Amino acid sequence: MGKKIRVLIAKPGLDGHDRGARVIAQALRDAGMEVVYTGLRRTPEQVVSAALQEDVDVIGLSSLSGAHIGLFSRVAELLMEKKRTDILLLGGGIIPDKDREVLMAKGFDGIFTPGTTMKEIVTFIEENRGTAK
Amino acid sequence: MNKPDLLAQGIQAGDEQALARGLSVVENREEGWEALLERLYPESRRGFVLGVTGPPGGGKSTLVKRLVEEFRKEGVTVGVLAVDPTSPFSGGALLGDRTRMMDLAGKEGVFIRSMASRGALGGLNPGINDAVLLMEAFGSEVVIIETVGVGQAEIAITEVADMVVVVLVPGQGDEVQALKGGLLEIADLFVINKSDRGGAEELEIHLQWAVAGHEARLGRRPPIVKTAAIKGEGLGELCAGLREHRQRAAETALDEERSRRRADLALRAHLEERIGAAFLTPLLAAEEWHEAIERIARREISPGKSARRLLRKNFPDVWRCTRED
Amino acid sequence: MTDQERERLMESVRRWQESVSAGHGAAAKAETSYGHEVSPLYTPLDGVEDYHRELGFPGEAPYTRGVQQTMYRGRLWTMRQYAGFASAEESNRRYRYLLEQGQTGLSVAFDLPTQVGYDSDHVMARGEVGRVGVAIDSLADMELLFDEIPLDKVSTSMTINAPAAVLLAMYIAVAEKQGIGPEKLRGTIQNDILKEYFARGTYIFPPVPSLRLITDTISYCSRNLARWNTISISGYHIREAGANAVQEVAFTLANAVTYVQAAVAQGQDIDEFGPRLSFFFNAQMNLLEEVAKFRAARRLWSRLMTELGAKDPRSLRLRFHTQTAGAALTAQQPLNNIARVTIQALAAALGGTQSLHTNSYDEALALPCEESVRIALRTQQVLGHETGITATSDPLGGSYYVESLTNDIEQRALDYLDKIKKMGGVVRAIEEGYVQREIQQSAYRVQKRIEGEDSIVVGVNRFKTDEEAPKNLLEVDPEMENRQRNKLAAVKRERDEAMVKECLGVLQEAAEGSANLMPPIIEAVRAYATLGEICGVLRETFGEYEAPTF
Repeated sequence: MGKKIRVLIAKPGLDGHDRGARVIAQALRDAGMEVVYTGLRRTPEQVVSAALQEDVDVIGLSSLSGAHIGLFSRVAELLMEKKRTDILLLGGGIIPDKDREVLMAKGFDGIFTPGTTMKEIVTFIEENRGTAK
Repeated sequence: MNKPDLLAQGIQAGDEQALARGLSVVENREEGWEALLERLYPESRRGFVLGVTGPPGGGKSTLVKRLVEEFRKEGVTVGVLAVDPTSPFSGGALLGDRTRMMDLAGKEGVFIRSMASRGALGGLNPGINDAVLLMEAFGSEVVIIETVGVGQAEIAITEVADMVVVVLVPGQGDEVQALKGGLLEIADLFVINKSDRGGAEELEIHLQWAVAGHEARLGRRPPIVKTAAIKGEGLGELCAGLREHRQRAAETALDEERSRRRADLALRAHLEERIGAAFLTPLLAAEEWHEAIERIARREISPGKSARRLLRKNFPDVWRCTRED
Repeated sequence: MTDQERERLMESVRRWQESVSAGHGAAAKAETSYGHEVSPLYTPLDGVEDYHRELGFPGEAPYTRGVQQTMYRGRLWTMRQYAGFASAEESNRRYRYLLEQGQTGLSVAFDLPTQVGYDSDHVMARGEVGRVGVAIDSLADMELLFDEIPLDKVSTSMTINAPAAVLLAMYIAVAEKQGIGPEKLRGTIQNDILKEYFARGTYIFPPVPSLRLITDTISYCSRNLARWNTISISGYHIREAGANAVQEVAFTLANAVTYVQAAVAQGQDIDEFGPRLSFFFNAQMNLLEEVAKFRAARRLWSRLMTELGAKDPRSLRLRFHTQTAGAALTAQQPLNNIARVTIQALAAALGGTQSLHTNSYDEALALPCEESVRIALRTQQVLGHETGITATSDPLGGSYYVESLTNDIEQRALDYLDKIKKMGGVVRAIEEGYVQREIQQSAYRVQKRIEGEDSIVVGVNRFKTDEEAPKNLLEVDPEMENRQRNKLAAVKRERDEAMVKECLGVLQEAAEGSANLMPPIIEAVRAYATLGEICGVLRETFGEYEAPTF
């Protein structure tokens, strides 16, 4: 029984566009990972609590509403509080470069914007999980 | 202290993160998994293990969520193992049951864990037994295992349970199929969920007939409860049904029977796993395995004969025991 | 075509095909958005068989060629740019700017807390206030939003669904303060909850009470707002969620049928509300397929409404708004999006749209800036005034390829409708996750095709260039959220609290019974009860929807 990469895909906030999140979840599944999907409208607290109970290696957050700075940062802070910066933390959405820098400084390991391929994300996870901070 | 001891101590102290990690350790058979189980086994209390299964689309996750809320009202701590099928193509899995239970996340006294069925040989995730044990050690008084009841493998998982609730919904047209598939045999209680939909009465009558027809054979007559989990209707009756079953089980030695069955299953799972690891796994990686496959594929040798040859060569003692003559 | 002519043509086609394969071998494969292989040549064999039955005339059933007799010769489509951000004051400024630039209708975007019925001070609203649209907590915000805009002179479209009744009530109340009666109001509320459950995500209540809210608004408007479009049944978001053209048509019309049946079940006359139903579609990149899609949707709707018992020809007309596809915009080389939007807008115009929103080129990066919004509007004006496509109705009618695609899309959509009917209706299909799965499979397929370079997206998987990060992106002031909360607190301080309580009590009673909910909602709104409070009462009575998983 080999270790499978476990990933939590989460939609924090009120954004209801989950096409990207669902497509990525399916792509990760097809790459042999076990993917927990949270569904819509989650608070950062719920996301982190689920990630810890599920003992995931990776958290992928998606928001297209422009609320990413506040919501994503809060997830990073909560992981810091729980001393779980070993979890690979990724974000996706319409995220300008300036915000990307802010989020990377807060502890994100990767930010993916429109046009990123599923393959790139799979590869990124395979190469970087477990090596975070 | 070494890692298994630390984890065990954390789990027994009610540390969520220790339980989360421990579940991964036993599920992945990571280093120290056996030590962890050994350390926890003698000290863990026996919890009430409730299996919830049924065809897809029955609203099982919502029902489980409502049940958890009911248990919590009474101060009972609950662990949930939500099992989803592993993709036979990629080995990955989409674990979606948690979606319905997200507002339970972070609530005190509730621990939810999604598991993939990962059925390599035969379908049963051998980790499920051990996961239950860990949750019991953590202090969960009730452990709910939620599975999709579509095949034998999923049904087998509920054999771990002290009680099995089968969830059906009206109008899906597959309930008859589901009963034929073995759900009738394992049910201790039927739930007709989404009973506010048309067709609930017909399904109830159909079920009553099926249950009555099998009463003599099964030696019991599982009750039928109607719910509408989204609206929270029928939960009182369902909880009463669970209580009754527990009481009767305690009075009639059904409990002991179930404990023995669970022990039997656990022992078998561990044995099969070890036999597999000791005999099969090295063979699967060997050159002669691939050669045999090539030859069978070319129809140069039958699979049975090939298996006998492999046995004779690698495990002559076993071969001698299984010889037909 | 006589049998003899048909024979001869079939023979010629065979001969031609043979000579092609002898000469060049098989051509590269091409397919539609829904995976149907496109033939390299279409002929009269693939076209129209019965002109009257399949096409008819503009303004006549089955409306394949358009819903108005003179189409754009009579009047151009309404140019309506969706806008709204941050505060009511800022959005008001943008609306007045757009009206000055020659826009002919308003289109209001609300922020997410408003769309899911939370006030700006709710915990779930954190970080979302004023992001994707304007924040509306109470009538006070609505008054600012339409300040100095005469509501009897503009038509206003509001993209609002679960709490549509509340926002419409606020609009009526603002008009009242401007001295304008409800009968003079023109506009649209989206009010299309079903697609929220599987494509857009801003649902609140479960389907049954949601449908009641919709039929209540439809019934109220039939009596009081005769010029108001009570629902805009939207395929736009279904397409954005990843559906193909057939699914867009099929699921939209499946939803529409459900609304009609619900209203009829409530005792309303189909020909009373039928003419006020309107639709909203997407315009994607495949130009001819999209034109065919619009034509197929019109013909199918005309037939479905006839089957549902409509007699008034106006009930059979599928009138629709179009927005160009947000999902087709690329963050790479964003100026290329101007070309994309032009082609999509062309598809909408050739497809006979009644109104149009063109996306701004920078929307894959951020909220659109003033310049990009102006270019988007100018694109429509160029199409409408410089190209000559407006001179005649349904200019592509009769194209063998377009007619063949129209037939194909209609047939496949009909197959979906039958399947959904067999499942017990669209609500059931949503609850079982069927619709979601179908869309997700299409979305996944599109993504895989792009990654496998079976589909080319310029600047994304081909013709890439190194580019600098774009500048001058519009940002929402982070202090906006606090200001909005303060405004809300002030409204709550100044209003008559006893009055609010009473109104909410009356609303709750109505919700528990079966009376039309519009009058008590209007009363509550007038008393400055907040959106969150009103939806709170309804949440308590109706419960909240829980989405199925994969």
